[in-house]
Amino acid sequence: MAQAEPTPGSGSATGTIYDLGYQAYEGPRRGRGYALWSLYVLSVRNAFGIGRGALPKAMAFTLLLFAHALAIVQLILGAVLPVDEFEFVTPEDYYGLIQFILVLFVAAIASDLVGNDRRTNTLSLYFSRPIERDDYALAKIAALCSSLLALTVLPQLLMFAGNALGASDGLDWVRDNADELPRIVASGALLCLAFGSLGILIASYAERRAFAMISVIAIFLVSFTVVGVVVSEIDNEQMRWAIFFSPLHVVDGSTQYIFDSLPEIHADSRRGEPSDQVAWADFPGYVWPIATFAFAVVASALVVRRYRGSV
Amino acid sequence: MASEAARVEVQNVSRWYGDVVAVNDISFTLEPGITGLLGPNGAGKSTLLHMISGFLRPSVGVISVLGATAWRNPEMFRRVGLVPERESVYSFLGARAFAEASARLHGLPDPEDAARRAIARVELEDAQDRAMGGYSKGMRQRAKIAAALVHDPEVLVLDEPFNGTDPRQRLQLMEMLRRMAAEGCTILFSSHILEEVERLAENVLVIVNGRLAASGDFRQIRRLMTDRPHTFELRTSDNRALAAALVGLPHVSAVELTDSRLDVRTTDFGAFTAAIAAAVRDSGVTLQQLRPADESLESVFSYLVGS
Amino acid sequence: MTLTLLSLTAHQLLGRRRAILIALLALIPVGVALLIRFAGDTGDGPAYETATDTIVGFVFLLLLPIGALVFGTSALGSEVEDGTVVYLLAHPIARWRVVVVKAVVASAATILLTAPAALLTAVIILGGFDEESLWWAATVATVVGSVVYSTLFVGLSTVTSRALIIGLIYVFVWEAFITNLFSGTRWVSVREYVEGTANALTPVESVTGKLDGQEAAIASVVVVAASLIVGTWFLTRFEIGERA
Repeated sequence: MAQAEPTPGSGSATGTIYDLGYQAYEGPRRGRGYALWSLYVLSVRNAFGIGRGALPKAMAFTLLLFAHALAIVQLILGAVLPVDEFEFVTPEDYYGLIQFILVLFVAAIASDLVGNDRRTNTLSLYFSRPIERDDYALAKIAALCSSLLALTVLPQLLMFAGNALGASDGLDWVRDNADELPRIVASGALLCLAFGSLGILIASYAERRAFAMISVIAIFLVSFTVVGVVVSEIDNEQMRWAIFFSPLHVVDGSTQYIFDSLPEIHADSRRGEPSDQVAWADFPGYVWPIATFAFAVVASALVVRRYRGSV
Repeated sequence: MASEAARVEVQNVSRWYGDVVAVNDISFTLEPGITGLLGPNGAGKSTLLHMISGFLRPSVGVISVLGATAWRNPEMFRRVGLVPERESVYSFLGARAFAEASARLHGLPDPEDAARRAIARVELEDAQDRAMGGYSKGMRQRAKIAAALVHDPEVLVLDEPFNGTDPRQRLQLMEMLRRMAAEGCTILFSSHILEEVERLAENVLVIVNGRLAASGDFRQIRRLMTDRPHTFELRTSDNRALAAALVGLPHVSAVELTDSRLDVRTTDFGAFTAAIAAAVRDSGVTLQQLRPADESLESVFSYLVGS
Repeated sequence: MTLTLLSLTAHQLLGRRRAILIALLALIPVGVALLIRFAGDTGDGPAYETATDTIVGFVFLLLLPIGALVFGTSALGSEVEDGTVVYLLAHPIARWRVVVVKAVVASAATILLTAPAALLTAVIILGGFDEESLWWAATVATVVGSVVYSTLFVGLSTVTSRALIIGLIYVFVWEAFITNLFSGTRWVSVREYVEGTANALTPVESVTGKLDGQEAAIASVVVVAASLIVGTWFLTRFEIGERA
């Protein structure tokens, strides 16, 4: 195919462009959806360090292990102790107990997912490909959210399966507790959506990876602590609105509502556990899952906006 | 074995990262004067310079600088200056403050004066008090060199020192380095640009794929490689006639006539230079010019890289 | 020499946007303290329990480790990351001196950030310098914690470039979880040194600690010394070059 052709239309015959046989790709293209899917899969793999060095793997799997630790303890106890209905951890409290680990995972992975592309300037490369800016933002959020499922719904299911096996009559146990399954999935999914999109949002605003990580942790934990202290120390009806500033409280409320286990309000609710504080705020229970979902929607919208505006 | 005079001595040094060999069994010594370390990107130049500056441990072999092992020996920087390749600088300092900080870290008795002299040497007085964050590449490069010079080192190691400098600055820096060399400083600099090495270095170390491919005076290196074709450019009163005569010689592999010139390729440098005079005389033409077309480092280099 | 090293490090640490944002974080406990003082139901007399909750919750568990993580891991770490550490190391300076100076600056920055926050929180909620000297206990414990955490993280940053994430896991998983579940690990939790120190300095009931004051002091000194030794060991063998 290689043959010399003089450039057409040039007056002087000194300049020549040679056809060296480079060809454009003429075959079928799989389009935007496939590109989006590829980016999503790549991001999920990145989250767990698959295809990367030993350190990212070690980080992700350490946190994964910690997130499973309570479920594993419950399994061991359930297997060793011949007590039916023995619950070291209850499913509705599981996410609350591991929330620090979840926040840490969100911080580490979110800063990795969006920070690396920014730091290595691959972001502009992505945007010069058939990936729309919105796709990029949504793929990253989806990747973090679904990675989070491995730390939330997975240990819960593991615990469910273990409890069933440990019960004297497994089938009976499953029949009695079958309603837990949709609750585990629904509450876990809501949590992942809210945490994932908030994490990506915060990380997308930080210039450096380290700072992104710290910011995610600081915002989740500081809001949690501020709201906790303010609600318990200040006797004021209006303080119940403060709870909406703490994603950890709101998500906890959502989980408790879905498991139908919001605590009763009593005199010391205000100074009690986060779940008690949520109950004290005395909003109709369905407010919490809606608020959780609203966090996810608003945060995702802001992330999309963020990437429309910058390279 | 270590000779007392050698300022830098590299003995059978190798360095590998995992199973990638970056530097492979290199030995050489450096005396006062300017030595250019030449090689394509990824040849192992930086790794070698980092080892000489004591920032990398040789996997095998010994490097001594001014008589002491380089690895884990920060004391050697009393007499050694280093200009690293990376462009990053303390962006909040000006060049003078940077040089002065360097002088203080060296514990010099009069850091202000040392900094002033170093800045003057690299001719950066105009910008010396502006923060380096706003410097051009060439200015940063000169600021880094100034900081490395404050203590008048006996050995100066520079990693790609001319990156980002404009031609005038380059000439000025080269002049400065020549002066330092004349005062007895041992200077080793790396570059992948032949013209720089050719113009500045008395000695060359050519490193290709982690191995020392050649060392010494580059013209000498060139002559040593007799098995490689050389090209001569000739201008004569009758190029065509001489071409006819030369084609018959056994060591001439190609003859090319251009408008005003005759290019002759030979496989034997010595035999050709011996035979050319007779060939000119016998064919009755007048020789106006005879010069080797590729007596430049570039050809040596591309030959080595290609092999 | 040491002074130059100090001022260079201080400049690098404090001249950045992140230092300002971190400083804003320090205002939060003070703000909460003001809110509690003037809107809270603390009743008569000093509200020791409220003050303790706020100081422990904000300063000991959040501000202190986060501040020390940021300053400790970036005192040396950010220089390594952007490559300017070469200029420092290409001087005839003993490596232990570099590590010590970095630790001192990081500690000072963390103290500057956290100690006033601890003191102000205590003084505001308790309405002055209380007789049970909770203000004193909180401030001293914060200073101790600043030094131990910061030095620990400076040491860690000589070992790995991932010091920040490892430090985060240490603080928010190990200290928050493991030490809570298994009190045998109290010796390897800086948080326990801080709380032990505070507990030893005030008779206030709500201030608790798993270690007594003497144990906390000994553990603190050991951790600081070990961090400096480990940091020096790794910095003398620190390699700069292209990584394969």
